Amino acid sequence: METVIGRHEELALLQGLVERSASGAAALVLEGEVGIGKTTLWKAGVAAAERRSLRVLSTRPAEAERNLAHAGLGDLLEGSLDELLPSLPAPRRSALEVALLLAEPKGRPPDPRAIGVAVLASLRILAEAKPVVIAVDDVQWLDASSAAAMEFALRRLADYPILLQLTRRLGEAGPAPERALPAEVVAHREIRPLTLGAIHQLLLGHLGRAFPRPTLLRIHETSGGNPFLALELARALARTEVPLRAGEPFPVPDTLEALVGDRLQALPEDARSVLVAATVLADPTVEKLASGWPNAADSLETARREEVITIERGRVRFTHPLLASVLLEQAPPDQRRRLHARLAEIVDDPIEHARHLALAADGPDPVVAERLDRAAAAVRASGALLAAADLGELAVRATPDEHAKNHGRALQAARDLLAAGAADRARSIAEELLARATSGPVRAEALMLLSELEGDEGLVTSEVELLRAALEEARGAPELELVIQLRLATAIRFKEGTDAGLVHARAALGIAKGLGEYALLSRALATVAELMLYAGEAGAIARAQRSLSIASRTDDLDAVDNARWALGCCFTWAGRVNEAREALADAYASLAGRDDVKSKLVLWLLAVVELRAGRWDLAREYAQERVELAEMLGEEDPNASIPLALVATHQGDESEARGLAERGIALAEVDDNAFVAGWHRGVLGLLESWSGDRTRAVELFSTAMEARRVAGFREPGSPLYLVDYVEALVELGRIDDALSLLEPWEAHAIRLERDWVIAQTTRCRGQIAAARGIFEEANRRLTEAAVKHQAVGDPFGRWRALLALGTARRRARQKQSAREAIEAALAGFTSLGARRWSEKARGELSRIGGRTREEGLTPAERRVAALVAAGQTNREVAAALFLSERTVESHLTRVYTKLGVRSRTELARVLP
Amino acid sequence: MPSYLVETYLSRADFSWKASRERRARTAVEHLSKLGVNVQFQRTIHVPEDEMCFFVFEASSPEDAALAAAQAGLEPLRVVEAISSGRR
Repeated sequence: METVIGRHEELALLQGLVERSASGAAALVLEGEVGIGKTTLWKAGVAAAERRSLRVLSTRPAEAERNLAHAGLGDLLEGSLDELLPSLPAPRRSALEVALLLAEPKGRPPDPRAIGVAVLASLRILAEAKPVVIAVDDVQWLDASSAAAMEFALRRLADYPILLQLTRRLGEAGPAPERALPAEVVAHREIRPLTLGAIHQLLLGHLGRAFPRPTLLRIHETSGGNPFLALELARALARTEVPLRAGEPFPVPDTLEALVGDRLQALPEDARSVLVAATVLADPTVEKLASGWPNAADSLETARREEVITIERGRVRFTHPLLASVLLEQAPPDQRRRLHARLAEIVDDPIEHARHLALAADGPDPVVAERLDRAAAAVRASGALLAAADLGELAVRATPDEHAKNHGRALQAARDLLAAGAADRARSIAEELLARATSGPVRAEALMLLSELEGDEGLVTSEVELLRAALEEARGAPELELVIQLRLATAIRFKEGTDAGLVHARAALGIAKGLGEYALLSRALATVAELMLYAGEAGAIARAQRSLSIASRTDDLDAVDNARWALGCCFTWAGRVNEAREALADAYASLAGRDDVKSKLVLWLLAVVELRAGRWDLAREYAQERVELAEMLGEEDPNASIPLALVATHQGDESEARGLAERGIALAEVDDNAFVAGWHRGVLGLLESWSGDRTRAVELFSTAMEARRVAGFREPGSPLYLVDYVEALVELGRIDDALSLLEPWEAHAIRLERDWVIAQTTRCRGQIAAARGIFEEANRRLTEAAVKHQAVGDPFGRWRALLALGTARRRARQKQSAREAIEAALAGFTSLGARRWSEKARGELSRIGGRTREEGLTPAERRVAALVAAGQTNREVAAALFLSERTVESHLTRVYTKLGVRSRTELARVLP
Repeated sequence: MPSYLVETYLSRADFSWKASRERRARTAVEHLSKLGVNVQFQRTIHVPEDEMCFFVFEASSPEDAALAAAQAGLEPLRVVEAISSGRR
């Protein structure tokens, strides 16, 4: 193994990395100029890790590989695939196999997130067995798709023993996977020049020669302590016969590029030709080079003897990347084109073949463009969108301007870039297209692309304007027009209201009916259904059901999932929790099974469904996953945290809820999204109302409702806080204001058959009656509300109705029945985990005072009451308790009096 | 007898070993003297900034100086004659 000279501090850092006693992830990044010795240290680090029996995943990308799809990932995982693939769940295994070209894609290609998830799962498996070292030399050349997958995974592996060991050339931009880890566990070290003594030791070791001190001093000074330059200077000096004299300039070039260039020029011409080919081949093997150059073996041996290359397992590797880059630079453009043409003939891989063809062309060539197009499609199918976009851009350059496919290829490259997150490059292609296509469908598509960029950045206004412009250009192209109408319908509803969105959705539906294409028809129906729901119109659910029915007749997975989502959305807000769960669970299984990012929409609704159903821990899991997904995607989306804020509020985690809501408002205001800000204000309103500040709560609810009104959201089941708004007004004694909200809400709910809401409005009416002192009506309404809440599967609503009932009874001085109701409510809140509401119930109980129900009955009375409530006759009770029937009757009479009941049926109701 | 400078590399991590190298130089010289080799160890000159340490031997020839350095395990980079002046 190469001895490392003069690097004891860096070696200590590398050793420290692999000896870390802490269990979490960490990174060491060694940075330095060309030739400073990064690779030497990198190799020492890998050796140190191997000596400690850590799992080492390594890659040393060359500059020629930076555009190759998942090349780095392939290197890293190559030695572990046999272990990993059988252990991965099917979608992850499939995504990895497709990305690494081990399997053909089936159906939709894996998106970058799916590949990231597969890498995450893989690294987790490996790191659970033993610490993993991910070693990347020259990380600036790591291909973008591998870097993206690594960063995705590392962001979620901070607690795992994964150690990054990276080297990077100073001053070069490129991937920085260490940024995925917390800053405090990442160490950077710039590698410094070697001392005079170290340079002397290096020269002796490599060249077997010690230099006179003045020469050594000159070498050290000229090289600046750069070991590679010092070696090249020393080699050059040894070759020349001109002695080095004091005070005179160096008799050899004193820059690295010039020195290396001279050294390479000293090689025979045919050796240089073969070596230039090796610089541009993705996988330069002796075999491949020999198929293009008959004397390649001899040439390569010459180069090996001159220490320009090494040959490891038949693969050619330059001893220093600078040798490769200078060689390529020295080759004139004509020679390079001829080289690429020859390589296009000898490489098997169609993607590499297309790339070489493109680089061999000296102008547009439709045949070359076609091959590049196909290569881009193949790479896109493996999920490497950036690499696909690179090939796509080459295809555009190879397409003559007037060729019909020119614009289509540019659009596809831009879409790939957008999907891969390279927004700037996508924008630049779209803008270039706009400049060239002055009207018509191409211009429409370019405008649509730009609108997507604006939408991703939260700039709704410009997104809508661009879509409107796109629509004008798309007239006469019905499919395109339909897609734009649907995009507009969704984008516009936050800016101009649901009704405006519905106009566009209905227009899209009209076009879809004319086209007769099922997938498009289903999509249009789903969008119409969703907007009808928000607009508070009847028939939304039927539309959504029809959308699913039509989608199920196609093999378009997207259309089916989209329809399921729309149906789930309708059921969620209609309060039909079981049906919502069924539709959404199917959509989620399908989307999550493909690791599809659209699962985020479903997660949001599933959290709300389980919140309503009283399964709050499950609601929290979904809500948490939604937030993590947003973080994963690097989205600052205020909408993402709404379910988690709601769950936290319900569970009594007030500071968490408040923090989420306040941050949500801040983010929404940056995006000028009053509707989403209103949601978060609703959460704050709940917090205030439930902690007793109803005045503040009413202000917040009022602002939230106004935002809904402006957005045209009228679905009665939608604002989770409306019932609390009404109740807060009642508590403040503003009965007329409460009724002015309640009455239209209730009427609308009755018209749309929203039983969930009717339970809530019944409860509100009970509270109004109680506030007015009309006890009988309050008792009746609140009891009815409790029953209705139970019927629709709303346990939280039921316990709140019972609490309100108990409070009303307490005020009517019916202590026993008040206690019964409140104790039932307390048990219910406790089972839900509603800490704030449990406190309220305890507070109400303490106001009742006196004996508890348990305290009020004697042990004998309790036994009799329990058996009677269970349905036994007096005779059966007497037999069971060894009492006479007369004694049972006496006990029962006292039980009725103490509990304030008049029959066995009432007794059964008040006892658990 | 002439003096010879034996140039060695002494990295920062190994500065503490200078004393043990000097001891080895003295031991080597004692041993070689018993075998009839005419060599004396004079002193060391340490240049920490350059990570270099020069051992000064008096010897009949550069080969004898190199032999002493090798015997002491100094791993010399060079052995060259040195002429001092100015001392009384």
